[in-house]
Amino acid sequence: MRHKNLINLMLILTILFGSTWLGAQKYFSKTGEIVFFSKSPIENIEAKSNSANTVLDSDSGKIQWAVLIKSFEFEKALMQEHFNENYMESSKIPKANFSGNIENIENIIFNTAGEYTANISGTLEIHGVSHEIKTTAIFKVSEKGIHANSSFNVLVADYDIKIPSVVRNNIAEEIQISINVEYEEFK
Amino acid sequence: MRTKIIWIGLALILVLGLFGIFEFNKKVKSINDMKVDFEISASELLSKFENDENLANSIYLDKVILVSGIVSKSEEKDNKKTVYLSTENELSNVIFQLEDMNQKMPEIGAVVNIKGICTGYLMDVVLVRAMIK
Repeated sequence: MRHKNLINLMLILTILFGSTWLGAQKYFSKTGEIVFFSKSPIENIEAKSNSANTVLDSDSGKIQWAVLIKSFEFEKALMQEHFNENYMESSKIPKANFSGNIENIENIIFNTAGEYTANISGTLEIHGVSHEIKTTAIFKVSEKGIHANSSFNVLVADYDIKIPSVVRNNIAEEIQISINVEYEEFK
Repeated sequence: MRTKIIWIGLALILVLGLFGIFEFNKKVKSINDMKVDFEISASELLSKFENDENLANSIYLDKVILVSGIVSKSEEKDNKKTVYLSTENELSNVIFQLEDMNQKMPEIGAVVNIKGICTGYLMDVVLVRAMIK
């Protein structure tokens, strides 16, 4: 586990510092917002984390995210307890990660105000299980900075998350994940 | 006698049902109502995670911690308030997401004690539902 965390840290540091001397632009946030939403006939469940880490290299298009599972906050105590203890096993597998690339990075002009659609592909690791995903994100560049948001769906079963049959109808088979971040320039 | 048993049975079902509904809808407790499990400085807490993350997780995850330190950054955006406490490692902080959006933000350089729930370590140690004491 420690070895894996060191590799993650090294990847983040490589993106941040790796090519600073070449003049490449790096952006980061330690307060990225990730929301997941489950809609079922019985109840809707939503949880939010405001403390995801993300790093973006605007030259290469490399993008990374990491979030602590226990940082997701729920409205109801029982939901939070079941989510952590029964489904995500967050004491054993405390993080989820995404590592990917903006495929059309040449179309996104990070120093010119505008709204750009990014095609993103990469590996999403949740509950210790990795899957390739493809999604789009909207990057809004303005004098205030760079804001990005994205939304995509994942199948609970793809990530080996076992839902007991007694609550199967309370939780959707497909969960919507929404991401919102204000990137800061790394100087 | 039989009627009495039926009534007692119905009353039991009603009580259990109400208890179930109450438990199901119970809101997450406010940090204000939680007892502090550990008191530690920001630098010491970070070094525990840097030295042995698994061990630190086993001790501090989900625990209510009162952390002391110097504010290196505080920001308010997108309906969230975040306070950073500096550590001996320039790249890493102890980060708090405040629970109450009405809480006054501390000045940079202020020495503070912040109570929060430990959620683990990325590049920083992260505590949520936090409150400045």
